[in-house]
Amino acid sequence: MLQISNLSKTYPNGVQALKDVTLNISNGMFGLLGPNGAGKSSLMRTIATLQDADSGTIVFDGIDVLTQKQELRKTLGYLPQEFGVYPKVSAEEMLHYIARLKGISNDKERKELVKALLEQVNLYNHRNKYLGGYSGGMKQRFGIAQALIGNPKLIIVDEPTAGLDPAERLRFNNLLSEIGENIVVILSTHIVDDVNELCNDTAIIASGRVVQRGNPEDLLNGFKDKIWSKRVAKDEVARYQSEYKLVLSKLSGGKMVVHIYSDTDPGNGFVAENATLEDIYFANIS
Amino acid sequence: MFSSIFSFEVRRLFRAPSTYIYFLVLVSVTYLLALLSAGVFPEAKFSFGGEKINANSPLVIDAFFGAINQYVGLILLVAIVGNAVLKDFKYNTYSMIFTTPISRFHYLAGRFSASMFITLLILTGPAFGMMLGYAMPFVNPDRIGAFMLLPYIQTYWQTIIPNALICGTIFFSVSLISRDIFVIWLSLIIFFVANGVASSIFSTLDQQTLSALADPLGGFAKRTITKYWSTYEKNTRTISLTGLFLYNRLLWMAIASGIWAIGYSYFSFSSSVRRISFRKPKLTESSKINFVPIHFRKDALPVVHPVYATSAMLRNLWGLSVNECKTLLRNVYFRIILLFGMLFLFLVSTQIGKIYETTTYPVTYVVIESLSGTFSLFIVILTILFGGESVWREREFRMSNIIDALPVPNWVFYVSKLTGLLFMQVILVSIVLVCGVLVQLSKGYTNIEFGLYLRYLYGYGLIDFWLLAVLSVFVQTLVRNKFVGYFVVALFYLWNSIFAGIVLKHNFLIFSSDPGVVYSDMNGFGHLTFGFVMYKLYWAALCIAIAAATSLLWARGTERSMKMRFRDALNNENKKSWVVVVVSLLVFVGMGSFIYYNTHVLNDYTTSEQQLKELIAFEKKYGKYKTTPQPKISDVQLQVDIFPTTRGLHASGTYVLQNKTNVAIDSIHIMLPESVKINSMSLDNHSVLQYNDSSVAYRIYKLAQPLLPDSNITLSFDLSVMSNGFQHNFSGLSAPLYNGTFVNNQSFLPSIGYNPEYEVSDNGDRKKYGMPYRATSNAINDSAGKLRNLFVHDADFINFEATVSTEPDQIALAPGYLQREWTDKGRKYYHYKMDSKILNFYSFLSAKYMVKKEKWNNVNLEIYYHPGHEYNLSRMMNGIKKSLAYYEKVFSPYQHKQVRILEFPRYATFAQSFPNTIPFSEGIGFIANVAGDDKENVDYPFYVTAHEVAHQWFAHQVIGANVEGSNLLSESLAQYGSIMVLEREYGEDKLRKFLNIEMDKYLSSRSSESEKEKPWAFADAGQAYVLYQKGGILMHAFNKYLGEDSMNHAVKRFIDKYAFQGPPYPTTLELVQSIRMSTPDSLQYFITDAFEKITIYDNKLTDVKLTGSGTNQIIEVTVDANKWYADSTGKETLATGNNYVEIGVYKNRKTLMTHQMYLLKPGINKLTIPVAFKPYKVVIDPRMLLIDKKTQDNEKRIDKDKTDDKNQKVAAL
Repeated sequence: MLQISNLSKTYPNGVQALKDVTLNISNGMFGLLGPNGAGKSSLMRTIATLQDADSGTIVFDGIDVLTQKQELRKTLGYLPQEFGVYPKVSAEEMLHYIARLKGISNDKERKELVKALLEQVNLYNHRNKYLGGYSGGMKQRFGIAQALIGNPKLIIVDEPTAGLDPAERLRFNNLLSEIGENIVVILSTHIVDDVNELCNDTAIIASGRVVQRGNPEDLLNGFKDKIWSKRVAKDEVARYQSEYKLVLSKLSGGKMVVHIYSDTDPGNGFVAENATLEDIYFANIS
Repeated sequence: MFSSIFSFEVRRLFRAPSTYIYFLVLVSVTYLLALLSAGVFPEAKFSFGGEKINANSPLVIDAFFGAINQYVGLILLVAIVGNAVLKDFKYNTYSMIFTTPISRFHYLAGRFSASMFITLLILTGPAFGMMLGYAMPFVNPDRIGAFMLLPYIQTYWQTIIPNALICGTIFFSVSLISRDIFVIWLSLIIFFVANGVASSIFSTLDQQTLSALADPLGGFAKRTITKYWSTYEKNTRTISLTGLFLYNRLLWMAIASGIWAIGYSYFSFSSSVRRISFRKPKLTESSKINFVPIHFRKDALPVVHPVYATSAMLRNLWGLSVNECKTLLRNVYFRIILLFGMLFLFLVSTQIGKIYETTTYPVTYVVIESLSGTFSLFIVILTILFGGESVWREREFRMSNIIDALPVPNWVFYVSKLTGLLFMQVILVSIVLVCGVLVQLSKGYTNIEFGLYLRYLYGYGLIDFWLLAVLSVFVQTLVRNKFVGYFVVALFYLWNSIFAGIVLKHNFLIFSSDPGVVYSDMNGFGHLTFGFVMYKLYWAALCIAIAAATSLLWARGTERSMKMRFRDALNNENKKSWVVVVVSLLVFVGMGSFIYYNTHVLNDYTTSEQQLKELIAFEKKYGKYKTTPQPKISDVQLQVDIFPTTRGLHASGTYVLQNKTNVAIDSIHIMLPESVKINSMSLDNHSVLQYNDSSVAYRIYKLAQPLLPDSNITLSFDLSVMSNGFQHNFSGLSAPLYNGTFVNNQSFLPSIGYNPEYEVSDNGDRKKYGMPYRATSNAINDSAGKLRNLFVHDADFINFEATVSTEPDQIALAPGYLQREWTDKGRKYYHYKMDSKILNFYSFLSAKYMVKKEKWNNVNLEIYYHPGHEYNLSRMMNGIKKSLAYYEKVFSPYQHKQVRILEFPRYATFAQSFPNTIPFSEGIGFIANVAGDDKENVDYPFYVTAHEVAHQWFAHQVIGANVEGSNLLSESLAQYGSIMVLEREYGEDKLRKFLNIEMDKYLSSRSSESEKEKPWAFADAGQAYVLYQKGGILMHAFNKYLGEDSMNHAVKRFIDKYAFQGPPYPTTLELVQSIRMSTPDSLQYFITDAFEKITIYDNKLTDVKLTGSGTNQIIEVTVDANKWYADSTGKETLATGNNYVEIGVYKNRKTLMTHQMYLLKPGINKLTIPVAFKPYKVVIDPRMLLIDKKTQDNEKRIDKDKTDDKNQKVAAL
């Protein structure tokens, strides 16, 4: 459905945000995983027609995204990484406004749609409240509601769970999991669990390049029996880093745990560990 | 504590590059101003307070220094002082600072004084800029006086520091209270506008003290000191900190301290970022709800059918535009500015149409002009502000990420934003309408012309705001920052409305310009509409192109480099927009060509520079004929057909020319205005056209036989005047009008001989083009000048007869008595004939008139007026009667049997006396509200009428020679007549208000004289302030000093001797002689002082004391009496000799009980005045007979209590 080919982008300040990115994405929830500054948002914004690439093409369902922006926008739903709201505008007013802009000029249709959306994302009770007063989770649910207006075939959701508290995050992912059928949904995140929970296809992106690509299961299979862990003292981490292929080091109960990548049992007190997406993620971005 | 905060802050500001940038900007702007005023750019004529004032005179230094600081300085104060505390909130450092143990006072005082200190350092910039500029080697040395350091120091110390402290305190306190930078900027705007409007309202004479104290920046107070300074004083004196100026400074420093204290007490170390906040707390969902999973079913959403067709977009557009407009109207700042605007509207409405401090009736057009003039500034500010606001809103509220990715073409966003803005302007303009109607109703005026409101406000007013809105949004779309956008638009607006006209000269290069529209009740918008509409179509076409370009370059997405936007704009999706750009640019060019064709081909347009060159060329070519003997016109017979609908004129007729010289004349020179088309022209006796320069319409006819002395020859001519298309500049009375034609003979009929009036009179210009010095007028003993009268060079007194025709619904008029009136082929004809000889100076008028007729002693009195302008007809009628009665009694019989007043459109605002015919502008007097609420109002319709009727004597009976001073014989004497009639009608008390205004006008006008002030007897025609104001005051003084009978007898003797005489014509010397004959020896000095010198009194009442009681009261008065003689630059020398000065005693504030002449020696005089009533105050020269520069110290109240006190003390001793 969505073919991204050889996409490159360098910003005027010299930062190369995308380096020859090629991805084929089909229907369903696609997870784009990467640390901050990896180029996720650049890629998302480019797909969402908000910025241009220096070279490469993006084609969605026959639409050349970079030249037929207007055409793409007609099938696009976009929840940006960061968005504000006008002061003193209620959720309902805002949805009407966006629905109008999305071409739903029939008043009756629009009214029904807005009502249904508000109900589905559980904001109906707060529909007359100003958006400025919404909590993070409510705001993101509003965001997904507006993205869903007008039967989009391509939905881009950019870091939706950043900044949400755990309960809000769960609730939001729950909502997100329901919309990925028969359309392309691209979810960018730096939270590995999001991808774990939601996606059937994923790519890991670091420093503007796609470094891993595939079904999360397949990716995990590739790491099977290759991750080993050990509890170490804090001042030993540097030594381990130089001796092994260190994937990550994290705190656990006040002590450090290091994960290393090794095809064979490294001994030396390391125990086998079940690989998680987190390991894959860190192995790829380090 | 304080010192560490202070020094940290100062160090920080010293490191900030902006500090140096501000300073450099101030230095360079004033450097340029200094060069400009010092005549470095001769093209830009720039003078401040008179051409003879040095560019570096203390007054100019003060004005530049003060003005720069008032505008740029206030902005700096907001930026630096206003931010001194706010930056802690902006950068979130407050949480660190507020938790340290510093005291609130140390924190605020430290921040305030540090930022104030740096600002004051920056504000020294203008002084350095000016010093540098004036010291440049390439300045014009004539414009520069000796260097003085004192004025810079004085201005800095007296004006800059106090003003910075006052305003800085205000902005600082506002920042403490509101904690919002926008509110501070808003307070700055309000401060600017309030100051401007207040100054226009409190400018009347009797509110001088109040306005001097109320002005926080002290400008008014300073003006009370410098107002009457002469050129000499302006170049040498510095402004000292005394009197009202000192009180003003003290008062406002005290107020500033109070404001600081308020700000201080409001401030606390609390974390709330905004003190004024309407925010509600955040919504939260209870944790219980949070764990309820959401069951989202996409397929349960209703099916919708998005439509992206243009028609659907257009439907959406309306909703979006309304949404935009609503957002603007909901804005708190919008509402605040609007409220202030409306408040000012009502303040302004009290001052509507003031002339002689008397308002006019709130006639619709007057109300519209007055209110929309004030309000347009608000509309412009709001347009600039909200143009930026609406373009940047999405990005500021970070909504753009969502909005920009929606399937909406750029033009929908753009058009909705623009429409919102345009709609906001419609609402603002409607507010003028509503306020206008309210003002009219509140004044009890009910003839509300709604049609005119609609046409004026929406038809002629709105379009300029719309054009500005398009431009404002365009600029905001291109710039990277909203504030840069504001700056660019504001700068362009200033440039366009003030400087572009001077620099570019052609108005089709000046954005949104037009030739000018003036509404007249008589002529409506008249012929001006066509040109206006063409110009606006031209600009509208450009703006549509700009609009389409704006929509193409609309900033969308996260990366908005111009390169990317251009790439997007060239996209195939945008073909239609490009078509719009191209088509509207084609229309723009087409309209431009059409305008050029009208203004430069069909009509003549020359810049003032070109005109100057043409006149110089004319003088060089034909000046040699100046002394060539020419015959004079003795009889005029005319047939003038006026065509109001086509604005044309056809004239045919004959002049009889008589050789009044003693030599034979062999050729006759004839000049005509260039715009006139000559159908035929011939002289009898087989004369031939020997020379014809059609570019300036100069003809020379060679006579077959020379014209011998005293013999006649007849000139016949047939001419047309046509109006084609529209002109580059506002064209008022120059050609016939749809209704209200007023043309005089000099504007379209031939004149005989070289006309020296065409010579360039400005000697600066003459020097530039290598022409010799030319005196502003002929010397008083110039014998050639005495052979010509003041008004016309080619005739003395003539016989006059004319037939005038016009369209049937109008009445056509010319001087003379109506002999016959008939209709022929659908046109009305009027035949007028004069029964006695008149000056060769007459006019033709035609309009849809109503006529008011009365009769007074066999004289027919008629007023031809526009229906609806009946308000003051009886005052005018009364004016005619009282004038005729007085003038016939004291001067001589009236030479005609009719007086007619004829109203003409307000394109010019004067009244002018032709023989028995007085055209009178609708703009003066016809709608004056003399009977209004203020009993002190000057009845100027009455006064102007009396002045013009007096001209039937002083101009039409006695006319002066074409030499210096002769205008006195018409204007000052007419002024004398009208003042006397005014005094008899309204009494001395009311006349005093009039004289007070005249005194102020004289003193302040002489202060900005551009050449040199001449003594009254030698005054030039251009020195109106001498001829009218000083002349009126002095003639009135003669009347009181010599006695009414003696004075009138002196004038009568002069009239008797010179009426209808000439050549040779009389000069002022003859009048002076006649007055001297009626003057006792003791007062001869007074005549000399008045006519031959520039005399200024400076009398002062230093002490008054009341002694005695009952009928034996005596006032002991101490007078400091001084008289000064000024030279032509205003340099004064103390006069010796004694003077008669009147001293009066008042019973109460307004009633003058006794007045008596005293002979006072220079310096201190002690007098005793016995009074038989309870005196209230003593006044020197209570009847305003002397020119006194400072009348405030001429009176002293008799303080009863104090006197009693003293008496008791004396008794106790």
